[in-house]
Amino acid sequence: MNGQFDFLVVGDDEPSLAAAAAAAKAGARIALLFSAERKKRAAAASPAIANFVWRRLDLQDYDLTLEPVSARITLLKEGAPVATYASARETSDALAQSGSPDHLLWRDFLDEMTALAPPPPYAPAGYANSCPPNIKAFAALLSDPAKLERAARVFGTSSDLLGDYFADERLRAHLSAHALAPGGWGDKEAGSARALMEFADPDAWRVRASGRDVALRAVLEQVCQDAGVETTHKKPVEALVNGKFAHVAFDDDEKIKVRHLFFATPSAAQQWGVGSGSGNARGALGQGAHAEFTVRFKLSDGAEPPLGDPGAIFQIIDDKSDIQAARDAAIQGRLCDRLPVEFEFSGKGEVIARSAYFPAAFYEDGEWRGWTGQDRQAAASIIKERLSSRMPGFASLIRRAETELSAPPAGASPFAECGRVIVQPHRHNAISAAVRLIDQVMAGDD
Amino acid sequence: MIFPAEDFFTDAPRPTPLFSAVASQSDANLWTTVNGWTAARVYSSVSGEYETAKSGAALADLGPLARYSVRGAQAAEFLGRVTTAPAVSLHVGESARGLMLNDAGYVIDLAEVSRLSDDLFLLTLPAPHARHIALASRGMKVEANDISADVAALGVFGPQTAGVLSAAGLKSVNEMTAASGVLRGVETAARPIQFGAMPGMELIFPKEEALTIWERIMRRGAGAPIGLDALEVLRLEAGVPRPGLDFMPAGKAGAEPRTPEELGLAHLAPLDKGWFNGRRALRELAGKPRRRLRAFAIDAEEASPGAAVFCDGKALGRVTSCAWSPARKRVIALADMDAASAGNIYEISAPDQSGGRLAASRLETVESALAKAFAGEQGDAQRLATDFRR
Amino acid sequence: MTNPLDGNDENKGGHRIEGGIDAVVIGAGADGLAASAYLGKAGLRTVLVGAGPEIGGRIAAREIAPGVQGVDGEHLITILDPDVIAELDLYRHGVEFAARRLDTTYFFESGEVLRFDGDLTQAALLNLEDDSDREALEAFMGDVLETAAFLRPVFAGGGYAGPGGNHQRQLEKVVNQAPPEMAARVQRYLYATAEDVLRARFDDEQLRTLLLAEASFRSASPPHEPFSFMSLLRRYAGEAAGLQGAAAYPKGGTVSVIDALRRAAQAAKVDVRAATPVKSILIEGDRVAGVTLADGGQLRSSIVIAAIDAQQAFQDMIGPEMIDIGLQRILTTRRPEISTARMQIILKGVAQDEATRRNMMRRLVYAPPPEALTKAFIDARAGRVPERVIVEAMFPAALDEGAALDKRQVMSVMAHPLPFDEAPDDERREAIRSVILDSIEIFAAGFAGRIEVDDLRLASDEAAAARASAGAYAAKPDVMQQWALAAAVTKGARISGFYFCGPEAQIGAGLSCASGRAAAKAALRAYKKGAA
Repeated sequence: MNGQFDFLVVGDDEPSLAAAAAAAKAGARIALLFSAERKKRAAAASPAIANFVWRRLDLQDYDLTLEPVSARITLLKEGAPVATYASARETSDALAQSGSPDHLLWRDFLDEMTALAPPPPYAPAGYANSCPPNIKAFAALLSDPAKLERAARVFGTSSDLLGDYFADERLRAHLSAHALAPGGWGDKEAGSARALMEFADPDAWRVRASGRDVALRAVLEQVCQDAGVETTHKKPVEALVNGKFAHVAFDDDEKIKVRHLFFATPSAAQQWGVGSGSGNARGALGQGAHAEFTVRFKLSDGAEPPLGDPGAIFQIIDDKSDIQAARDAAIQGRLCDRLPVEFEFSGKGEVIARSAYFPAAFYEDGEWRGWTGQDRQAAASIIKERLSSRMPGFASLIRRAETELSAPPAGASPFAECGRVIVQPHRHNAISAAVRLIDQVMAGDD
Repeated sequence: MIFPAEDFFTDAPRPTPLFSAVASQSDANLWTTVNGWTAARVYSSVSGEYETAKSGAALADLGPLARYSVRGAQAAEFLGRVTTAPAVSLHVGESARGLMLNDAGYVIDLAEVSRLSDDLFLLTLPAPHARHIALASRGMKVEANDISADVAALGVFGPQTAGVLSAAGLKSVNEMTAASGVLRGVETAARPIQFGAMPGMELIFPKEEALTIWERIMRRGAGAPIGLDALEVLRLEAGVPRPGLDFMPAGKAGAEPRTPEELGLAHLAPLDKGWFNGRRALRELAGKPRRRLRAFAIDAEEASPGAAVFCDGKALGRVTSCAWSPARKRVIALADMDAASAGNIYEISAPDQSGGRLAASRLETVESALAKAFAGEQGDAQRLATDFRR
Repeated sequence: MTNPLDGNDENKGGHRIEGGIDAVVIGAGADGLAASAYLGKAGLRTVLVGAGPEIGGRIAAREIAPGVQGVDGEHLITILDPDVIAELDLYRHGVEFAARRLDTTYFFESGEVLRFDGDLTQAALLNLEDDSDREALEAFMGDVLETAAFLRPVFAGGGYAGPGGNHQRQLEKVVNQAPPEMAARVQRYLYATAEDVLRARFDDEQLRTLLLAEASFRSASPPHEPFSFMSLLRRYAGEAAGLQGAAAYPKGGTVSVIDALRRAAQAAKVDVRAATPVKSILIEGDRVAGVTLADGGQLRSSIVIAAIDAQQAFQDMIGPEMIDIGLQRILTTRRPEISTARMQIILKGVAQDEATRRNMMRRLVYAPPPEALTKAFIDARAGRVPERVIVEAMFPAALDEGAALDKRQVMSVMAHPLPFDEAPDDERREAIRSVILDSIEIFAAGFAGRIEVDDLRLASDEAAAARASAGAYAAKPDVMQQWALAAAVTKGARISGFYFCGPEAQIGAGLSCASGRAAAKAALRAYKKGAA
């Protein structure tokens, strides 16, 4: 691999692959950087593929069938689980059946979130170090109270929005958990309402490859290959900007020139020590950043999913105050005692459990320090306890547990001095958002 | 009241209380969904059903519409706020049409309000608006409950309406006021309604009794069912815009909002009567329409929505809905036009892609006549300054 | 036409209907006084009605101990609108600055101290050792003050409707014409967190710490959340005594500004009526028609300006049945969670040595470490009293000889962030009192032993004294929310002749009067157009 590229896409998750393939199919020259230690493992559910992405990537030519996850379910500390479904009618009926006073509001809620969802043009596109000035949009915003009002709602707090909408505390807790936990947000943080709007987008409903024989990731890799994306596993050591290009040097002294470095997800960025520059900055070591920690539990037979539903995405929280409390703990650099945990059954006798409410670094005795083996053990054991609290006997079924930490590495990032880095913040509809973002950047280049 | 064209819940529609009754009458077996309820498009034939409404009594299952009971000390003020209907000045038994507007004065939906007693009203809407109603009742002494799923509703249209009412045991009723009666122990209410601008009556009874009442009416041979497609012709003849088709409700994603005036419904939102939500913004917009919804009669057997409308040779709008009118022997259409599109010669692009054009002419409908009369009345500037609220 | 004065005698219960009034201003606080003075000056027959027994609202003199006058509300001037001073001739009406640009001394947990010149354009850091830090600070202050000055009209808040009320369109024009560099900066700063911006600009922990404290002081927006950097820009966009970003102290305390405003109003022949609570605002058609007083009387006028909180103006006096549904939602969505407390402390003895006396002539700020500040916001938002708070302290008598006492001195303190309670109990008060005293003790060791009296004033106390809704003076949310709220309330529910300049119309904390001025100007434009 050498020469000049339009993008160096860093990461091997579905959004990165989809963005790389879409840009390559649109005529861009793309280099794709995989991390050195890739493991083959059962895939967790991924965000849905919007129709336009499906068409862009010609996915009909590949052997791929996607199935939506069956439900989003929250296991609160008390009372029955709360569930919402891809079908608005099914959700509304389920809410009515559980006696929720808010079942009639569900369709209005989805409608309103959809109307609010398109990101306003003045929203930062996720540029870590550079941001195209769009002062006109800001000016227009100031001149129109209706636009300002909308912006204030989009950039308001999820807690205010839900509190204003629903009377049912359990439904509010459920929506907070599913909308905010994947990104590690707090429900009282400014801007958290946006997660709620995105979460209501049909493209944010997660899917799995049917039968799970052909993983979505494998298909997307094939698409990338067919589209002429060049891939590498080399380790970048430095990236410096010179004019309109970044010069990226690898550990074997090879160099390439790229217009932009593109991270389709904040966790891809975080692994290289790059922050997203949004309010929920990940990457930087220290206060305000957070880490995602995943445990894959291999189970012996007989694990029974809650509600007998192996196809759902589950969230564990005790009540709705847990969400902000967990975010606060992560910001302060400590473990949370009532950790929100998301889990799903992978279909291969595995439970994949994760939480984005871990600190990126720990604050102890007035000092910040990185993760240690002990921290990983403590984190895994909290997650195990949380699962056991909702699935009695779970602990006894565990045969093996593998952990995976998405936290900034020690030492300086090779991209620290590079100004041409684009990072997509955490998005529920990460695949379609990544394709839209790379399109937007390409359009800006022309 | 009319049916909305867009349905939020398209999957797994549920039967209305009258479903099994109307289903037994359906030869065509052609169904659609409205607000998540099953609704019949055609029972026998569009023309036959249309004829029944013109000469006999047509029975429409109005179960899919959204209904709210509104009670409390401030029920009238609440309805006066949330709709443009003159709820405060309604006497017991009276009904009125209105619109639901957002703060900016744009149309969210059509509405109909009936006063059933001093502090009990019935609000009927093409589609449910739970959120808007919850917000509007905040801070007011009022309780608004969605009763759509609890009652059966039967609309009766046509010259023989009185016969149906008497079959339902409501002899004493006149066609201007609501009434209630007991038929074999079943409490039944009747109230005057308008489908679009077409007057009719609506019978409301507990859903458990839906079949009893229906059978009694059918046994007397008092009427025949009418489906959505025939109702659509009647609606177009009356010139009433249909939400989701002729305009997008304000607040929907991507909606280009419309003022009452732009929809030809200024008479439903008078600026000089009681206050309603959005009125003050509407006052600023009044007299400055950007678009006009206009009714046309087209000299053709068929036309299609989306067709361009030419005014003195210039394309200045497009057809939003249309249907063959058996009465006029023409296609009648509503079209969303540039506000400055008054001309002499109107043409509509032909549906066959040939590039040909069909001759059309402006059509006076019940609704446009009302708007015209209202505009004349509005010219009387004296009236504008005489409103006192408290 | 009928004369509204006719038929008084027939009125039920003898309620008076008063006519011949051009404008009624509700609320006798700073903005109400300023608005009425503008109207009176323009020749309108203006009645100013205040609910409380005294004129002045939140900022008022009060005896905090026998023989000792304190001043409630604000203790410094930071964002007072210079146009109001000039146009209402406040200097002639008695405003005199004892100190025009207070230097600030920042105290840190470590015991170290940094001093800032009161004139921020100098960016003179009086005792910073490292040259690179000094350069970074100079460059930063240059950027920030320039951006803040550029954004000043944006922070003026509100878009008063009505003829000629094209403030917002002007704003759009101004912002649109930003030079590219400024545009890029505004765009970058708009959504940014104070932490991100400051971490990128400074290696020096202390500079970061003190700027974080300044950014989050009196704001409900924590420094690690979006828009928090804007709070700092807002603070530095303000002007005191002609100096951008400065803090000033007027002779006689901030209440002297209120006194001057009252004199300006009286000189403008405003009919000022204390103890005259308003029950409702009269609306006829879509026009305002006057107010009904609590005693049943009516003041009829075609202009009404509400200089009271939005809850009272819109919900109580106009009523939900007459305001648009969306506006009501905006007014009822957010519940305040964070507030600032005020404490006035009488200390035994007076400073003898020159160094201490000089230090007392400054604004003293205790800036907790960033981690402690974050924790304080987290605690306050969760309804707990934090362990550390930002403290801003000043000594009136050191700046103003008139305030000197015999063998005692008053220290005036503002502390932030604290939880907001509508009705705090004694236990909560005691907890807040002790965290403030603890935080002061950090930079003034041994201070507790000299306390003679301490007088704690919470946001709910201020609201009660000013007869405002409980949450009216809680800390304001982030700038984006404030803009939206200000834009919504200043539209005055689109009722013509009705204008709003209550606390929700103002962006940022402090005594400003800009919204009172803007409301009056909008009313005058409409009045003149109507007369013409």
